[in-house]
Amino acid sequence: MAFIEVKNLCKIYQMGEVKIKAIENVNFTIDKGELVVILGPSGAGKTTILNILGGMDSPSSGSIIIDGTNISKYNSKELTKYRRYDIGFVFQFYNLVQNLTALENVSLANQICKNPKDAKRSLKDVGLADRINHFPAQLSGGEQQRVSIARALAKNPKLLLCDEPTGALDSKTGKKIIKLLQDTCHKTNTTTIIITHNAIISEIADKVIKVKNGTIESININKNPKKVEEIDW
Amino acid sequence: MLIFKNALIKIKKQFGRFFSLILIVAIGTAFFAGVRETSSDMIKTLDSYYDNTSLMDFRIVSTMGLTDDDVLALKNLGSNYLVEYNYSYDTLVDDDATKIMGLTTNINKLTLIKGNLPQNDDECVVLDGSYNIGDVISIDDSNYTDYIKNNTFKVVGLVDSSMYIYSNLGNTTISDGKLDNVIFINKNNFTLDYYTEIYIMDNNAKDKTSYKDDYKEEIKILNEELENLAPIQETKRYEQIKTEAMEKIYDAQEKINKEKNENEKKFADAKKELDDGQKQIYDGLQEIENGFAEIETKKAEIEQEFINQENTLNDSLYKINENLKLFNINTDSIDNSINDINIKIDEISNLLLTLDPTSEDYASYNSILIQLKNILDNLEKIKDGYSSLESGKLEWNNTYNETINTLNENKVLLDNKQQTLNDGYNTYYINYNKFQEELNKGYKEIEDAKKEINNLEKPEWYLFDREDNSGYVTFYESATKVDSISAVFPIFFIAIAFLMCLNTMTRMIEEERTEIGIFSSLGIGKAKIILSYMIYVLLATLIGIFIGLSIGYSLVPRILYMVYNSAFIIPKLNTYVNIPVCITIIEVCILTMVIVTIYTVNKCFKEAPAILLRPLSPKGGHKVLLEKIKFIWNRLTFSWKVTFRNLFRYKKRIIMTLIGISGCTALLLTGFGIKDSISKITELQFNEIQKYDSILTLKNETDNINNDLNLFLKKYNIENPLYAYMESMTFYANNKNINVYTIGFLDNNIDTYFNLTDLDGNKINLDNSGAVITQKMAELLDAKVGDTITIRGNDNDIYIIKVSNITTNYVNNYVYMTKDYYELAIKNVNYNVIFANINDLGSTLMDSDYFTSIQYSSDSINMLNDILNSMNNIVFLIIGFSSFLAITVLYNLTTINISERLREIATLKVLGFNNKEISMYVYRETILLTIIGIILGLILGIGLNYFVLTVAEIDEIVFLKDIKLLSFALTFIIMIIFTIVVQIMTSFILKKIDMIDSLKSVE
Repeated sequence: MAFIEVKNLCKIYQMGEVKIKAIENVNFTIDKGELVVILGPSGAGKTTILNILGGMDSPSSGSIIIDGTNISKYNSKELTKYRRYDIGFVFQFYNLVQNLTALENVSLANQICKNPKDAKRSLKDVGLADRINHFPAQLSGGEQQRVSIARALAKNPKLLLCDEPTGALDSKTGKKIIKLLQDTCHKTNTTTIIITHNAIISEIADKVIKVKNGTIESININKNPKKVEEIDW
Repeated sequence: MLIFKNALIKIKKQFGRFFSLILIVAIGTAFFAGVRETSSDMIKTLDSYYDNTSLMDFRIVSTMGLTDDDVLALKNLGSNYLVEYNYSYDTLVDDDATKIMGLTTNINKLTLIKGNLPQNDDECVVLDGSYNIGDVISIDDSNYTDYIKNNTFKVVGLVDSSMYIYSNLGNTTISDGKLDNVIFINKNNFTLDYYTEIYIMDNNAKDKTSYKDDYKEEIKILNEELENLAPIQETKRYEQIKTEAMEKIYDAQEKINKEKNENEKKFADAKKELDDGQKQIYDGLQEIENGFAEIETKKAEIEQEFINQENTLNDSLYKINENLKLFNINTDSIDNSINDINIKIDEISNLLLTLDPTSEDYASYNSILIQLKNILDNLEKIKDGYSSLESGKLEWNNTYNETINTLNENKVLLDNKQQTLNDGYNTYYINYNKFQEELNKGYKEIEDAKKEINNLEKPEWYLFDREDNSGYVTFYESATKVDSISAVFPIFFIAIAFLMCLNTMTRMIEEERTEIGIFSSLGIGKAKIILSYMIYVLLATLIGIFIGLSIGYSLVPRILYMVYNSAFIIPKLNTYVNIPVCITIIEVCILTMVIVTIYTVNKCFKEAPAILLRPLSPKGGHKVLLEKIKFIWNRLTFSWKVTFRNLFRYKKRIIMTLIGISGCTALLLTGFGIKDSISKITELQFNEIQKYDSILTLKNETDNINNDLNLFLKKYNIENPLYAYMESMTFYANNKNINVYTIGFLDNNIDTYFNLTDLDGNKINLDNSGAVITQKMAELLDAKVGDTITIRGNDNDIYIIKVSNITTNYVNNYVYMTKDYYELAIKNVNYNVIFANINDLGSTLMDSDYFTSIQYSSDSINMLNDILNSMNNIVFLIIGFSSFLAITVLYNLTTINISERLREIATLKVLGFNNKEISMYVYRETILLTIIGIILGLILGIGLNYFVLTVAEIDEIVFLKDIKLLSFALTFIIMIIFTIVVQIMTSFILKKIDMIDSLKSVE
């Protein structure tokens, strides 16, 4: 039994009179500890899939079974709980609370979950041990994204979802972030899904799900995922 | 077009913000415009009511009534004057002092509310609210016919009268001195032969606004004319009354004289008749007397004759008897003698027959016989003589007795006659005395009347203008109370509204810097971009102003008017739109909004479009001061740390929030503060400072205390009457003359009725070193203890008073003095008032003739409360508007806070914060800020309350500036409730925040 099982997932947005199908008939499975890249151009529907996986949105039809639980019929309260305990998010624009220090940003997350990692430890793990008392504005983009990752990981999530984590970063920094994610995934056996339109990044993934026009184009399993050092963009 | 559309989209996108902007502007404008307009609306409404009902400008009353000649003289004053006479008669109806008035048609017109005007003499109309249609009013006074034809009236209609708009109908001289009711009947129902009052109205004054100076100016002319006319008409009336009275007296005298003459002759005739009768009786009596005398005389004479005759007969008889003896004839009695003689004769005759006729014997016998025959004849003659004498005697006796009887009978008759006559005399004398008495009485009456007329005082005209009508004056005083508050208060509303607008606009433009950047980079001109925002702002402002002005000019005055409607009987409020004020408000708002918009948008233009395109790099977080205080900081939970951090992050927001919340709190607290202040004034003034329940005005000023009066008061258990001389004077401050009552007390100890304390609460005793003045007066004159102040008497005399102390006082201005000091500083004291507690003895005292009027403290309290109540309503309005403003401001601030932190909140949502946690994350700050704001506001409110009340204070009233603890608590609670309500309102916004949309890259 796969850790994540997505079956016939559909999401239709009602825009006034017009129905827009964001994704249609999406099926895939992800195993525990897998590093998955969802790849596709802008507007292909990858974020929709991620949002639904992350409990930020509900599907119009289909089912998502995560760790044996179907979340597709969750109400907003259940979804909140789900996000709270099971999901870690990393965003393109970090979404740190500007008014809180790096440490506080991490603490913000781990004060609401059941078995949080120590915030300091978490920051140390992403290599920011000496910057824990800095405010986001005092940190570089990469550092901010690390804080963001530390915040996501501090919750000990079942699932780490990263929406274009390198989108706002230069390639060097981006690579460092990707490496961090890959390392974390492998070290902590945290199932990690990275969304990107950058095909190169997909080379490091265990599984690559290609999305196009709201449907799955292909699902490839990398027998030998590349090390981050091996790729470049 | 595009720009316009863009503006519309902005509105649609954040309707809540747009709406709150409109509301804030509307509230500010409504309050500002409405409150400022109210008193003017009220005065205009009343003015048109007065005009429509032709309220008199002057009412003329004379001590001796008024006549057609007066009416004519008044009419001749000018063609612009309307003149109408009327009758009135104050009497009791079921023990209520009721004024019965004629129904006027040209002046003081009544407004029929229900039913119809009286058609018949037994019908009347009454003031609405006193009686019902169909009620029958009957007058207690039995002498009503001196005034009116009927004494019962059926109510056929209910009316309003512009003369009686206030519950206090005025004074009267009957009952307890207070008028309870007024009823109106047809004029021709009055039987009076003079008019009791004449109304005069200046048509030119109709165009002027009542109460205002131009009206006062206008009627000043009429007032002068009336004052000039008064002495002329007074004299005329005096002459008329005197002439009429004298003529009447002369007539009466003539009549009395004529009657006297006629009656005296009648009496004389009667007397003569009686006297004649008497004379007749006397004559009759004399006659009877004479009769008696005559008959006695006759009796004596006749009896003498009888004796004589008897004597003669006796002599003859004796002679005969002597002869007879010779013959030896019994002489015992004549009859025996005759018998014997006859026997003898027979014997002799017989003898003779036997004898020779020639014989001597014969002869002798014959001669004897002859002799005997002779004797017999004589004897028979004597016998006859005796017998006729006896019968004569008998006859005489009869005659005599008859005569005596007749005389006695006549006497009795006369005696009876005398009796009757005596009765006649008696009657005569009784009547005559009566007549004389009456005559004398008549003379005396005439004399008295003459004396009275000679002592007759000249009639005096009294002129009453509208200011003498308590309704007219009280209404104005109440109405202008609103003005006193509206002088400053609405400015704070406008100020807060303006600040909030500014805040909102700044925020909005900051939020939309990207859009500005895009427009700018697309090469759209500055002006157009500014215009797009301008449209937004102006739309909000103009709609707000429009709504605000609509409410302000219609609803606000009506709300405020409600309280007047309950205290006064007045028509529906006419509302007016004050165009200049509208224009000013619109101008000011547009101008400031334009400036704000241009300024804020311009700030964006300073940066290159490229930079604008990027989101404003969030303001870097930094440590707050509190973190330095490790002791506290370390103890705070994480949430509170975050809260404090956030709190101090945006200084501008803090300041705006604090201003907004503390402003509203201060307004609210001031509202309550004003209420506190006015609710206690009356109680303090009339229960704690001036403790008498009435002021009795003496009919005659007196310099020595009337003993009768004292006894009278004692009789009714009126203890400790405090005699004083009270006079209304003025002092000059704030560029005007302000009223002050000067009082000189007989007794230096006035504690029973006055509780004078200085401003520190120490008791003040009156002494001869100076006067005690009231605090407001001291403040207005800037006088301290020991200073001298100047007051002006009615005759424009100047009096210099030394201030010996300053006393706490809330209503009116007083100068309290001892008698001695009064006499030293002003003039000799003639007592004209008594301060006393009379309870319910008003009617008794008014009946007593000692007093002209009674001024009841309860009336003063009611009147003051009615005036102050008008402020109460504005307080409710202030509280209402402040609350509304507070809610809007809180809503506005909260939504701004949320919109500023949309990403942050979305992030929290994604992190799995539930709704409650998110709300708390935001609200913790809001609540903390609100509480700080409220506390700040409460402190500010104390100042604002003081300021507003100080400005609102008028020359005769001191407001208490302490705010009750309860008001603080209420304000606090209300604000907290508002905060909670707003948080509940905004929690829906929080819930609705879409994580996905909000977290989408900033485009």
